[in-house]
Amino acid sequence: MEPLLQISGLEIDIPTRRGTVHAVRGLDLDIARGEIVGLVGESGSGKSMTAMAVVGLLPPAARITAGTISLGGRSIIDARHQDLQQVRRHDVGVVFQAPMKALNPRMMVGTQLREALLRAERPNLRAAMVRSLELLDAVGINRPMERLRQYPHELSGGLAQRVVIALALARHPRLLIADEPTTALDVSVQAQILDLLDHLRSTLDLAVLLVSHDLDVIRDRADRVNVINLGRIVERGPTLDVIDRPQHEYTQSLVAAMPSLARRRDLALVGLHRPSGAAAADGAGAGGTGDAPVADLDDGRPVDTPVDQDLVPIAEAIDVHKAFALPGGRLPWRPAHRRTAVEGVSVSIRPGESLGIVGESGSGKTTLARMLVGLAEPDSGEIRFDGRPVTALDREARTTWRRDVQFVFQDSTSALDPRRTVADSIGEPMLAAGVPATERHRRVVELLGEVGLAEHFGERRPRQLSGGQRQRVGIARALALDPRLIVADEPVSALDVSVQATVLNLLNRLRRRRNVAYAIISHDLGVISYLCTTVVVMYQGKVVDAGPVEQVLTEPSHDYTRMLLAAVPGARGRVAVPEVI
Amino acid sequence: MVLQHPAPPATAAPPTPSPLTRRDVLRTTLRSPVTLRFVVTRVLAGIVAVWGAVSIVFLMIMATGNPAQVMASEEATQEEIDRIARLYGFDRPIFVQYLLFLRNLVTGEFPNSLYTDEPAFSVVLARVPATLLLSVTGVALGSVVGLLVGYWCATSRFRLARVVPMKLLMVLQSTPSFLLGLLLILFFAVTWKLLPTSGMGSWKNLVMPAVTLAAYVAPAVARLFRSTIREMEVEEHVATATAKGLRPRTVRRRHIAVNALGPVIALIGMQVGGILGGAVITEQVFAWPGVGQLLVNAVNTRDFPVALAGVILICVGFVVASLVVDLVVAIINPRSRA
Repeated sequence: MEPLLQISGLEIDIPTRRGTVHAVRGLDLDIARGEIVGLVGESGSGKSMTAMAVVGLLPPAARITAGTISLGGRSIIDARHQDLQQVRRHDVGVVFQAPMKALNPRMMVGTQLREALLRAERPNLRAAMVRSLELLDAVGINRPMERLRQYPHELSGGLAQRVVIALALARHPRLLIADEPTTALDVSVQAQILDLLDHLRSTLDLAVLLVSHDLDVIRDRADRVNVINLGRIVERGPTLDVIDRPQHEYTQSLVAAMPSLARRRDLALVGLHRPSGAAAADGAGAGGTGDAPVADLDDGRPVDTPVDQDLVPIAEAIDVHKAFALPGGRLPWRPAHRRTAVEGVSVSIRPGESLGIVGESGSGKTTLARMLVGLAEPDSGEIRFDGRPVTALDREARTTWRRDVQFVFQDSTSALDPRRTVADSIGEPMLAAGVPATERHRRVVELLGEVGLAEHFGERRPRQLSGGQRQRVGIARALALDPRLIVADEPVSALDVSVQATVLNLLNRLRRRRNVAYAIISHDLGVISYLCTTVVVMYQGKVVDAGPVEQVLTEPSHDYTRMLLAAVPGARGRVAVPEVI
Repeated sequence: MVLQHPAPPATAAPPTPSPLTRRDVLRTTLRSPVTLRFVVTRVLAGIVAVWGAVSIVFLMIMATGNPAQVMASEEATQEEIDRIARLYGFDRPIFVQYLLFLRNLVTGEFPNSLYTDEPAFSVVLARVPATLLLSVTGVALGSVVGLLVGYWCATSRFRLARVVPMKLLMVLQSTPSFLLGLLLILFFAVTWKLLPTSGMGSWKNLVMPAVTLAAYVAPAVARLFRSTIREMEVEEHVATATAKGLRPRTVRRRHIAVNALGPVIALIGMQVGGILGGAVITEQVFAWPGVGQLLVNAVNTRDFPVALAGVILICVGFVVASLVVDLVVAIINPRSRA
């Protein structure tokens, strides 16, 4: 069959001050109608560049230097600007990564939909509205009438992504380009959006290019997959063949680095060793930060030492409640709505334990974590440290509490002061604790080594580091005062698969060596399964399921946990997914 | 509890579309730009701001020493000063004076001008139309020029067109109003005799003062608008708009420029607020009979009640201007409407 989209020999260069970055280097790809083709790779691999080149949305600096892209037999890459617009208008719809950012915050959903319609389909307001309602209905949005007059900030992430898909469908495209369409969404919403794309593919006979970093998503949804690394396709073929029996070294290492529910827990993840120095600068803009591989980091097998239940928990939450005020009410003096974030939750973390807190956005897991370390105070209930309520701690005990319980943030970029050197950031907690300068220096070097960074990294500033390196600095800072408990809020969700693996391995290794306890907040059940011994599942502010990690993940006792597990991608053809309610 | 496995979307036949009434169409297309709650909150905040400003004025009067002494002529005897103090209640405890002051403000019972013996507020209010005319014309002209130049400099394909207008405006910005005003008078009124030098009357009188004010407003507006457009260009929703197939010009105008207006409108609002009382120099140079000129005269002649009324009026003007700004910005940024 004649492919609808055909990319051959595509090369994209981005000139920068430090030389030209070859983002895409001779890439071939084709998609037929009614087919979902996956394009999988890490950030900087050139996968988004490729997708955006098809619709002419490359960043201004990027240049297509060679190759052709043709759609339905017509070349669009040499097309003049005006032609390209016609192509975009009629034939290609784009679904972007962050649905909330992809909609104009100033305009109502209805206005944005109306704009996207073909002129012939909007002779007047009424006709435009009829068509808009059809579109919203096609993407499974309930109460479409009301949605039309809502603003993007009044929609949930899943709804916003459906609206973006409706926009993409407005001009009857033949090709849909989905660039990480579910990365910003919760697992269950992710499953719904992917179902929707699948459904549209079959009903509208669409060709879909599904760009993702997530092997499991691709594995479940794509008919064929292309693995891209440093701007080249390194492996391609039917999805299950490629992912379950990878031939190329890079694909193999990608699969080995992916924490997944489907993998065996006692297998260590394998972090990727990026090409360093010149190769990276020449390649996909990795920036040549020279991430020296530290062999030691790879031993990250999960730690399954039994936890002594008689020990006094380091941190404990007892029936805590927390609500936030929302602006609301027609008049200022009417009482504001309160939104319950955490409702009667009790958890405890004993020495040596690694507790996973799982839930979707809005489930209250981050609020709970913040209360555990004292960044937020519960409205009612009690937070205890070493068995004593934290409100009753004297000055000295409070200092001990602050020192023994440390926090690692999700976004390592904003968690570090950009003007401070890495060594200053790591040394700061010790400075506050009054450790003398020479001792501090020695410990900083030691800590850098422990998280797998060479000594000279201490002189760098955060923006000179890669995301994974920054997160390791964040962990080193948390370790500085030798804590007994580390609370980490989504420690790896902002990282690439391979980097994620090194950080996960680091966390496991630290636990094995230092016997530090963890509370890991994550939406990713694979991460939880790899790092944790016990897990609590939160839903709408309550704990709905709790227990040892293997038990909860294999024999969930609550419907919500079952739903969550069923929604996790990567199950296709592996295990029978329990039919849920 | 909502526990559903993700249902296959839209498999169920859509509910039979009932014919859309005119009301449905209007209801979904129109939506009040601001909520009642938002307006009420902002108006209340405005009232509090006026009260605060008035109280500060009161404190400053008290801080300048005995107001009776200030009001009395320089050769006044102690007896005369005491008489004035009794007359205006300056001998009462300070808190009572404060309450009296507030009461007088609300009821409009304010001391008369010491010179014309007319009510101070009427004297000031009589000058308001002139000031409003000048400031609205000047700011409007400056904003339009500033917005056009800013948009042009942010989006033009030609480097020179992006750079030159901005440089010219920066030269203008660093020219003081009194110098620019005098230069205008020198050329347009004295040398070429095209426009009258001063006063108020026909539209010709308005041209030079308005241009002088505009020259003060336009550069700031242009620079801010240019930089916000630049920031807005890389927002992700702009890519969506482009991908929808809109013409590049539509994307630039509707999705970039309009979205970038928020900070600019806030800036313009502040300029209006400032110019209501601060066009002093321009009004002096062109002998424009506005509030600024009146204030300068009142201070020079120690016409205490008139100066006070002028200051209070300016405070109210400021608050009203920022209230309007809040309401307009809310239309552009729905998230601030709560």
